[in-house]
Amino acid sequence: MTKAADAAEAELFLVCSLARQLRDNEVIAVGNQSPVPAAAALLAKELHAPAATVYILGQPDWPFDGTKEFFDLMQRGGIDVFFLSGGQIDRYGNINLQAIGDSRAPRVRLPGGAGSAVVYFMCRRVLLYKTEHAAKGFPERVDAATATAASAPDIFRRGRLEGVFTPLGTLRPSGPDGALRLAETAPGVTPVQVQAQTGFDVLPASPVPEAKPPTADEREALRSVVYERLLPIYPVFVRRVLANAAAAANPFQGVIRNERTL
Amino acid sequence: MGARSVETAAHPVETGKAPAKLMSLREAVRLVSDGAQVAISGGMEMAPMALIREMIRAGLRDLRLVCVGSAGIGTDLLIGAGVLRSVEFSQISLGEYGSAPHFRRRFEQGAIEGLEHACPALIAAIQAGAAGIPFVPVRGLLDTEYMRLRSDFKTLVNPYDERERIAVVPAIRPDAAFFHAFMADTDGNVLAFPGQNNRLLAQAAKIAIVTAEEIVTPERLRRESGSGTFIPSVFVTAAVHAPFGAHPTACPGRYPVDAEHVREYVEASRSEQTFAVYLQRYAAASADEEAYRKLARVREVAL
Repeated sequence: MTKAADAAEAELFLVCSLARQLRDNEVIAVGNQSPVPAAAALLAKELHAPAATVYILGQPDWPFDGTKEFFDLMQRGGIDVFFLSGGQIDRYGNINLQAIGDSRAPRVRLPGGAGSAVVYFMCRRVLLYKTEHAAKGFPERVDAATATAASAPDIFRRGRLEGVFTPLGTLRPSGPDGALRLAETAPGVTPVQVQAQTGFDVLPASPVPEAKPPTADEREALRSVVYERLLPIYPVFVRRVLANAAAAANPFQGVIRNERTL
Repeated sequence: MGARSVETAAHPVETGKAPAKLMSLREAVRLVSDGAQVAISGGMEMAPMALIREMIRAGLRDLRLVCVGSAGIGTDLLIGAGVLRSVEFSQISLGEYGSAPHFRRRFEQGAIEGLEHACPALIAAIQAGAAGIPFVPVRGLLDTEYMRLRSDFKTLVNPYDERERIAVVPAIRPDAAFFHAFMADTDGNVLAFPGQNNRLLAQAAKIAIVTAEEIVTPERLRRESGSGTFIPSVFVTAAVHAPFGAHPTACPGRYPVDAEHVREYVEASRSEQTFAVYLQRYAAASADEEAYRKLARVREVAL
């Protein structure tokens, strides 16, 4: 496979890995610039969570008046699941979307936290994800805590970190201090490889199971229904990652796709 | 501080007069002066790009920009063109087209003042502005970087439940709001994109300047009011006809992001020299939106 195809395949696994966490009847919301979780939410709804409600910021049929009504709903407790990412994610699941280095004089300016400093507190289950898993993105401590994974008892918080999902596997909070530990590896990836790409100690005492690769059903749904629904919102992503989603499972997929477009 | 023009163009509810609201892009931008606090909406869709280009043509300086919702190429263009003294924002990015080049560069150089806000908290601050109250409590924020960066974000003990600490943020009441809409009618009523908070923003701002794809009769706007957010003219100061006024960002239902133009922008932003050429081509003081539409071949991106 080419490098681009490898990258697309890694993101495809990440989409499936996130989708498998989502449950039927949940209210699932996806924020700005989040094509991977948007695909995951639509995939879950198509396969195992048909009664889930999915809101994707930027969807053409957005049911709220502006973002205000949506944020109000979130603050009232109306959103069960949300996805966040970060330029850095640290050992405890704090995220940094602001700056590498000093946030007042950044070495690298990141885009900004968007809604994360409220979202992380207010949505019940927060799934962190990162499309690239490298040591510099997983430091012991974030340079700036744009949004925190836990709060003191005198701060209202219903949001709980479920885990960190990457192309290499899944880290989950464990033990009394909630430090992240490797809970699952991606197909063909070893725990030692994950440790080499992570800036803090992630190896648990017990053996780590391996996730199953994207199934034929997952690939087919991604290539068809999810592709169509996501195209108006993330045209670049769907063409790069989802268009050939079924390729690995079905070598004739390219032919079928061409017939569809004709 | 924009005091002169802002005062003369105040809402009719405040002056008792009802001036004509339809005006040219040039007239509308003249309502704002150097140093004013200007709020815009829109990231990679429905950004008020015609207004932004006109601000550059008019040579405005030292504006304090407030980005209401996630920001994109419009904000980056204003930063790159040297129009801003400060920018208040929750996130600035070109979305699928990568990081915002001028935003990154100027912040890494320390050449612009940034006021970081969390999106839901910023919208709450706009709502407080619209309500005429001085501040608003918001969830989250506590013990995050925002409380360190923003000395004007405070912590209160909830006066109704002393077991809880809660953050408060100051109201935002901009000198002017700029946004792009689907339609405006000849009375200044507006049909806005429902994905943004423009009805609220128009109420929070001292004046609201709206560009629209189409200017229609009041009867037509009423008929179509189900297809967007209706904003009554009482909240609108100026309505301007600006076809393709969101280009190169998307106008949902009318045209998508012009990916080719965004890539041209990113390429041009690699150096100050090439960016100067871009600005001269698309936002020269001597030109206007009609010239822009021809140069940017906007009709080719229509749905």
